[in-house]
Amino acid sequence: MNLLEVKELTKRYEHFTLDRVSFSLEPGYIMGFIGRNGAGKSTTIKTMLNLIRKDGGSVTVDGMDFTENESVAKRKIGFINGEFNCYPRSALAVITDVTRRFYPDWDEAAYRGYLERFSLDERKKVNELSAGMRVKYALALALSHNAKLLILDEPTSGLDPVSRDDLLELFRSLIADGSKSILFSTHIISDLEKCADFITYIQNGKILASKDVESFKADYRLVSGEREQMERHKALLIGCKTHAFGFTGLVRAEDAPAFSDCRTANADLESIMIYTEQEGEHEESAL
Amino acid sequence: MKNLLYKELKLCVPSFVFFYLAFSCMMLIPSYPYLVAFFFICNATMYIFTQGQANGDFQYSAMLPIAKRDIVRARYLSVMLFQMLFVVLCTGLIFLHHGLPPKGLPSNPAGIDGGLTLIGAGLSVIGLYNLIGIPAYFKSDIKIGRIMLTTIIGLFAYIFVVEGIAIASAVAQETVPLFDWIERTLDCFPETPAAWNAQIIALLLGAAAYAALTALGLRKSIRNFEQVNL
Repeated sequence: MNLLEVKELTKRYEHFTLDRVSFSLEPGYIMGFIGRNGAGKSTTIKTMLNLIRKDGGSVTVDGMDFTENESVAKRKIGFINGEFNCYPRSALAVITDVTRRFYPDWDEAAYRGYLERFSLDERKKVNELSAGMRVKYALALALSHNAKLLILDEPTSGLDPVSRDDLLELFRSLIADGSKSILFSTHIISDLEKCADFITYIQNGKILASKDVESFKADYRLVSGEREQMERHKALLIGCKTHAFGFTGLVRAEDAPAFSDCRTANADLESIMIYTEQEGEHEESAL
Repeated sequence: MKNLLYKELKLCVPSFVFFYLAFSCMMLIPSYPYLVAFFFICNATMYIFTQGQANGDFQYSAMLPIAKRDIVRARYLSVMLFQMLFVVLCTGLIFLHHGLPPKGLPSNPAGIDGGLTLIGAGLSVIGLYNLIGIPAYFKSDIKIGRIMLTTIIGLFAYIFVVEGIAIASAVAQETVPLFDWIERTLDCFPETPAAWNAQIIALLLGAAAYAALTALGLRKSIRNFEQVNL
């Protein structure tokens, strides 16, 4: 059974539509949720959690319809929305004392462990913490109530490389027993290369792909060659960049044989995103 | 709800708001339009909302394992607790005022006299605030100035009418039989059985108005808040 199932989730704004977003996540995996700024990542997450009122679709968490069982479903979820910015003049100890009361499965030992791991001092007030430390505090709260599903919106932004690496390791250890899953959105694609099992890619409010990382990457090839070769195959290129020695571009794997006269290589996540967004831009400018 | 109420008191209600309870001491002023004190306590609860907005309270609450409507219910509950504390203090001070010398003072020339009718009228003032003031804080685009202006106009219009009837009763007691009855039974400290009976009914009517207006305000607030994108 899927731990998270999002079906046809829709939200209409005047200038933006989250268009029938669907994806699912099984227990024991990490899913990276990627897309450009304004593509709809945060809107999707907030609509899933009823922070934004949806116009259609459904969200199921651990077999429960989220809308009908909001409070019970939320207990199974650990959610962070970037850094913790609430009650800036309150001490962490006070905020935690309030928060823990809402979770019957609160794990005080785990919480103390995270405080130590993240070097957080509970006596400090929120406004005395750096941006990175605020993210860590949000994580400590989200991870301490035995949530089955962690939904993390930009959890690694604001963290230094050492802390980010530590966090990614923590994510892997959290899902190791196969009962928990993590959905996290990020702009730092290298983080996903290190830990994600699945990728869901959103562009202009629509899901472009939602599959395991290897299949996702296998759908594309990077090609490079002379400028004349580029001109010959231009129609098949998803996106490309020209430079002094020729070009480098992205093509769909099924179109790669047409580039037999060019150099081809496996595509990485960052290249796929960069070149795909170029295609999106071309389409927009054509419109 | 117990946990939410704890959250409200621990993180949301600013401690200085409790100083506003001292406005109940206005019941000890010899001649005063006492219903104005009930407006002040409504005004005090506004700080719970403005502070909450500055502290990202709704954003925090939305992360907790509760339904969105429970955030509204908890806020109403904390505001109502505060309001009830004020009403209880006012009631005690009205009785204390009556027991203090000098005795046999003429009717309050500034408005309604201290008694159960005043508490009933005060409850309806607070109920009106819960209906017209609070729901505006559960919208996306909060305009504090507009909310305050609407609240002030609405509440003071009502206060002027009630206090106006009390003043008119005192002035025209001799000429209008209805005003005479009001003065002897409703607009005074109850000392005769007739006055006690009439004022208990006035108090109950005020309490019923408070309950009904607050329930309507809560419904409106939940409806507003469901539309808010956090």
